[in-house]
Amino acid sequence: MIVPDRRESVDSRGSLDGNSAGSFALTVSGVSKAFGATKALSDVSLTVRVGEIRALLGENGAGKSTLIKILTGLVDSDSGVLSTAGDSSSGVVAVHQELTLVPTLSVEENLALRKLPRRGIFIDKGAMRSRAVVALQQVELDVDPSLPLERLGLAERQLVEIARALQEQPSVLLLDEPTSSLNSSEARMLFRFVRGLAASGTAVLFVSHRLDEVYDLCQSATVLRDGRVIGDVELADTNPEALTRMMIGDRLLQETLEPPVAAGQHVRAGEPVLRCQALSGEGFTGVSIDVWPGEVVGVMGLVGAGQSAFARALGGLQRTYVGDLHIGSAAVQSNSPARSIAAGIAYVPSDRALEGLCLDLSTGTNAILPSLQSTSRLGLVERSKTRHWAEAIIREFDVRPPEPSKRVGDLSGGNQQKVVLGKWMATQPTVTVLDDPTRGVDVGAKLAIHDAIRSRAGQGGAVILVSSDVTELLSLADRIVIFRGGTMCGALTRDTWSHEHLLDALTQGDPADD
Amino acid sequence: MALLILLVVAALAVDRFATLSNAMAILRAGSFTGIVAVGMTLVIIRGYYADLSVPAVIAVGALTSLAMMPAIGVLPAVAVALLVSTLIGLLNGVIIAVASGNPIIVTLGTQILLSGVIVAITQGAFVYGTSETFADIGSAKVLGVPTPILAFLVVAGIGQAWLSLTTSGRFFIAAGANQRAATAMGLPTRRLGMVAMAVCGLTAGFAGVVLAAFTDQANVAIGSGYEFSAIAAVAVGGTSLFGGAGSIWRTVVGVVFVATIDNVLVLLGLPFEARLLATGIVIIVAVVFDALLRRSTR
Repeated sequence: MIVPDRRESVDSRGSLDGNSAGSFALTVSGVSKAFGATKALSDVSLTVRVGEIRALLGENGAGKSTLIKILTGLVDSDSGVLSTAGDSSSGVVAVHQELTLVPTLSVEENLALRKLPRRGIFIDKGAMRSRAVVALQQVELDVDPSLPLERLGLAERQLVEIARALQEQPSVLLLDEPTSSLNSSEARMLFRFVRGLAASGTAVLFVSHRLDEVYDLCQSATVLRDGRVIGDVELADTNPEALTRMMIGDRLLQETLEPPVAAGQHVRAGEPVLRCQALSGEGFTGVSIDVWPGEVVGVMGLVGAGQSAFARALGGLQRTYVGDLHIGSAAVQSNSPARSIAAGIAYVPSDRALEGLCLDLSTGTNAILPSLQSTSRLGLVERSKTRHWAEAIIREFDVRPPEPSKRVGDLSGGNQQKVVLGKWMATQPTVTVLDDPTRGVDVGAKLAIHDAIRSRAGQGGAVILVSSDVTELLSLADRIVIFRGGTMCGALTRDTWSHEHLLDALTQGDPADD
Repeated sequence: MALLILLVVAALAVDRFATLSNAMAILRAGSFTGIVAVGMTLVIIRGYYADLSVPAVIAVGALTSLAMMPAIGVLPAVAVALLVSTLIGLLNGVIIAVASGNPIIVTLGTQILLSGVIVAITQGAFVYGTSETFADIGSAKVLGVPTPILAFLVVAGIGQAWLSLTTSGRFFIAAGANQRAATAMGLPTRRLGMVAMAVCGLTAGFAGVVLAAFTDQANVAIGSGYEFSAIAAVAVGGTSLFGGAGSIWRTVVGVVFVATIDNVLVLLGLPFEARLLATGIVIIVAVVFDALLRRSTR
């Protein structure tokens, strides 16, 4: 399935049994990169042998994406050297998690888009077709090359993307979270293909945070944390628990296993503050849950299982059809954000750039917007009060740099998220709904956000925390509810969990599989 | 900055430029565009790109006030003209909000439709003034300042105060900067859009009334070209055409800048076509200059 001459060249090196120190397809040594005052990578070194499948592991914000950008030449490193084997090859070619193909163009056009074959001023359709046929054979994909790409399934599109990458004859194929949009059988198909690719001599760097996949596919792993290489291991010599410890660090692991007293010790007192009975809406059905003041309810589920839709509906951003939602004793007909907010629900969206912030406006303006009514009289903004309020939010949430006039889009992801959180916490919402609040933020910001959630609960606010990060849920939640297929299908409380359960859940990614 | 340079250079290089009467001439020439540009600035900051129905609304304001005056008197006629203009703007806003229409296309539609209505009613003929009071106000001076300039400054002052001092003014900017984030925050983004369009209708209608008082006559074409000169003034002033940033003061600077250039070219005795050419070039240069300046400071 791979071009024959590649196979021969690899065979002649005789380095396919994996254990022998074969020739290196990629050598990275001492790479550092800083963005302003933020050090994204410091002294990172890693190697990938010919025919090896190596995992690149790390939490969000560990520096994976910066390293990928340096490897693929999108960003220059400040210092360090990287070299790839082979003369005619084009180094590291990445296949990204967000597909970069044009859905409305045909498969063959997508494959040829970077270098469309031409005859005179016209596209050479014959050449384009024959190239596409070869490329598709390479990935064993049997589709009509003239079909528009959007008619293909996601897994097939992923293969088209890989076919396009392979056309460039890379010495290293970099797969960046390739399974994030695939179901398990599609993922298995992809893995079978990647193994074959490696067996015939292509080096593969597999970026993922799912340890089960990593153990399934890879021989070795490089673990990044806070921009440094924390571990460089053969998977046969280690276990998932040790890998997890490397990825998340002792402090977070500690927090997870022995949460601060505030979490997990919640005593239900009085009436629930949020009561949800058989609530159905766009993307979820029949959700019933009560939340007490001061309680943190974790919500988890796979992508599209309905947990985000439920959270959005609480925030008034998605429609509800039937069922009851009560905040305190008041029924909420929540079909607009304004109504939800008036009822005391603050919704912190998962995409801060799209729905959380006005990126072009200043940090101070963003922090103050939801509270502006409270700092004005008769519709007139009281300037000094507003400024003090903004400064207080910035101080309390340790936003860096602590300058209200700084354009918020120029802040790091973690600090942007602190602003989003800060602006809502300042309104002291009765119920705070957060959708994946620590996605793509560094460890420092993550801990700060966790502290903010605990302090909100400590002040008697109810918190509903949707997260794809199991570690986070285990460390913060008083109980965790699971969503599957658009509805709530179970709840786990902290006292029913032993440490073994926790670690199982950490490494397997879905405690509901027990 | 660019305005200061322009004023200094013009004062040094052009005879008869640096006089009080010439300054008044510049401001008066810019005042009609300026009144419209205040409403246009709100529309653009809100993220609605532009209101292209301005020429027709100006004509509605001018024709309504002139035509109604004999029957109901000066003030009621002006009030009716302003009300009708505001309602047209509001209608634009409602269509845009309810149908999620593109503001440029929606207002282009209203512009064409209204022109048709006006021609059907007036047959393209001029309507002349009938009230001496009205014409006197239009050509009067207060402390040496012509009334159109005063009207412009008052409108600009109100607009700037609204934008910078009130909560709703800040919400305009937030809604224009990121509509989805503003909606998620519970801000009434659609209503803000309707208000911006209604105010733009109001300012266009008011510009029509002031024009009618000044010239004491009007026809369907009285407002033509003002939509683009207003947009140009907003852009030259440095308000982002993508919304979410800007101020009325910037627009005032833009208005004066464009009016000054035209004034200088007139004083230099250039023919009309050369003035058009030069004004176009200067607008483009000013906007490019501004973009470069902002890129270097970011």
